[in-house]
Amino acid sequence: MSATELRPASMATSPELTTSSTPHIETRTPVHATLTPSAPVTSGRAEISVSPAELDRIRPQRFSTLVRVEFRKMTDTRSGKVLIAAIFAVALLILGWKLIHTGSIEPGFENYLEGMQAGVGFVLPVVGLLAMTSEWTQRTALTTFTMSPRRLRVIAAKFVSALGLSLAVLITTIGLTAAATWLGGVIGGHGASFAGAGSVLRPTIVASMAQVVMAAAFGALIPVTAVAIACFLAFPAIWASVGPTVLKDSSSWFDIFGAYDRLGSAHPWTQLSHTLTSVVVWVALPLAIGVYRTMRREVK
Amino acid sequence: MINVNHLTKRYGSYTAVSDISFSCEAGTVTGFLGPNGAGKSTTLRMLTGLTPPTSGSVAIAGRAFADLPNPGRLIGVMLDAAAQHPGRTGLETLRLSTQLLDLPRTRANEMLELVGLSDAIDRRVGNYSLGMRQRLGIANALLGDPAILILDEPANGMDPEGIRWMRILLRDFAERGGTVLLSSHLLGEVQATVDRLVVIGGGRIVADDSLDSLLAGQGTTVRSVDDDDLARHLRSRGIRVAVSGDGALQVDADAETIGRVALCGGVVLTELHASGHGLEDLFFELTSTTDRAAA
Repeated sequence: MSATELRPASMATSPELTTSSTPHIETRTPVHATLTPSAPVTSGRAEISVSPAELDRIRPQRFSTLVRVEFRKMTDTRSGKVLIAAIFAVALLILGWKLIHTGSIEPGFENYLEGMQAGVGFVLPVVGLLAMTSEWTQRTALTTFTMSPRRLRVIAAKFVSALGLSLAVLITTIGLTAAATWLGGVIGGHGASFAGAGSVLRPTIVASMAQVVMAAAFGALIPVTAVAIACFLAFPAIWASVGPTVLKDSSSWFDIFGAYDRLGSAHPWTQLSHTLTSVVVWVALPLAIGVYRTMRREVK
Repeated sequence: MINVNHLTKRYGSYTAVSDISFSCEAGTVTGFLGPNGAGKSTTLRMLTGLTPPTSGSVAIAGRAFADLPNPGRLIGVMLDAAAQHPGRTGLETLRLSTQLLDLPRTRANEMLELVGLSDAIDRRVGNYSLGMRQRLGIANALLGDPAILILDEPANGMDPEGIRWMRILLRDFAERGGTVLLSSHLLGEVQATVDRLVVIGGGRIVADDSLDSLLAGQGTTVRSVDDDDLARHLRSRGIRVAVSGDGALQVDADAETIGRVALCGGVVLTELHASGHGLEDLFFELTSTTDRAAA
């Protein structure tokens, strides 16, 4: 095929080629001319218009929709899936260890749950923390808040979905614990013992969920995942050792772990003022400041 | 559709955006230009509720952004194509938005096909090129079939085919009655796409007019066999004439007027064209003064 054969064809398919060769600034008008009314570039309406009545017909975002979207965001990324898988892996490792040594340990559910809680209780709060920090660290907050500008609702939806997801994960691990207890009973030949299960379940769930809430509060306050995790792990631990030496007996007013223990115990309302003060200082205050700052933070 | 009223943003003693007002009408593409640090991105973030203004207000279809019932159904926004989660697939990214916008799930696939990402729907966004992320961002902006688009550097990282596709898409959108606010540094592309220009420099608006009248203001360059004679004829008709650095005449009139004057005076023209090289010259002309003022 010769060059002369090619030229007219290419010009016919892209007419603006002929005009873009003219030297001056008027490249604009020919561009319009190339558009056909049925240009297959958008699948939208033929006529775009917005009347106030049309605006009113758009249904506002429901809170339940926001919760479903936020729940999905926590589980649809690789990092989200890895985190959940890691929690189950920790639970299975601990329970497996207990099963291997089933001959030499107490066979009751309480024992299995205690071991499981020691590991899972450490990782589970990250679910709550990540729910608050992830979008700022990944910069997807930019899209999220342009599509849902009422930030308080978004934060609340993140909070609710983080609590829901961590509760679901916790209940699953408790189920695994019960299964391990039963299996241990079969292997050991002594039968599974679920004595006192009710009294150990409550403190486990209360402490675990309280930790998730506290981690979410730290995440809201510090929008950088790594820094937030470090602060969440370090500060209460540092305080637990420094507090009593500085404040002596008064330190129990700010002892959040003591507060969790009391809330999970058979008498949750003992030393209520101490408990409330601790919760306000370690959970409510960071959460309030974090939410306030998130509401006003510039999204970049 | 978009009304910006006396918008100001201060960071401490630094004023990023100073009392700017402009509006974008339905059926038009407005180009929003300015050098880096001129306050362009800050303005776009204030428009979309991401940055609270120090003073002033923005109305989108008569309402504050936060009061729009489900913003994505009215206004499609893409401010940064890089702000997407690298761990999600392209399809999952859009599925989340369809859920938020109350749209059928299939809409996500349709839009991915429209922007030319059908082959990449199951790939993680982290493996997308910048141009592909731009396409994904545009798909997300168009998902809710909006009436208004606000796009920051949409052609950035796109191949020539993508840039042309984008131009046709935006022109088509505006011709169907849509409103577009487009920020870009690709001035040739802006010139080929927009109807109006809002130029910002040093946090202030330095130009707000139709593209045609802004470009028309640059005068005409003329050469002839006898420039002195031609200049005399032009001046006698009250037309301003100056001699440019390279010896050509800079005339404050359009080509037809000059041609007629030359015909009457019997002067043979050897060159006659609009001055400047279009938007690029205009851009530097408009923003250089503010740069100096800022320095």
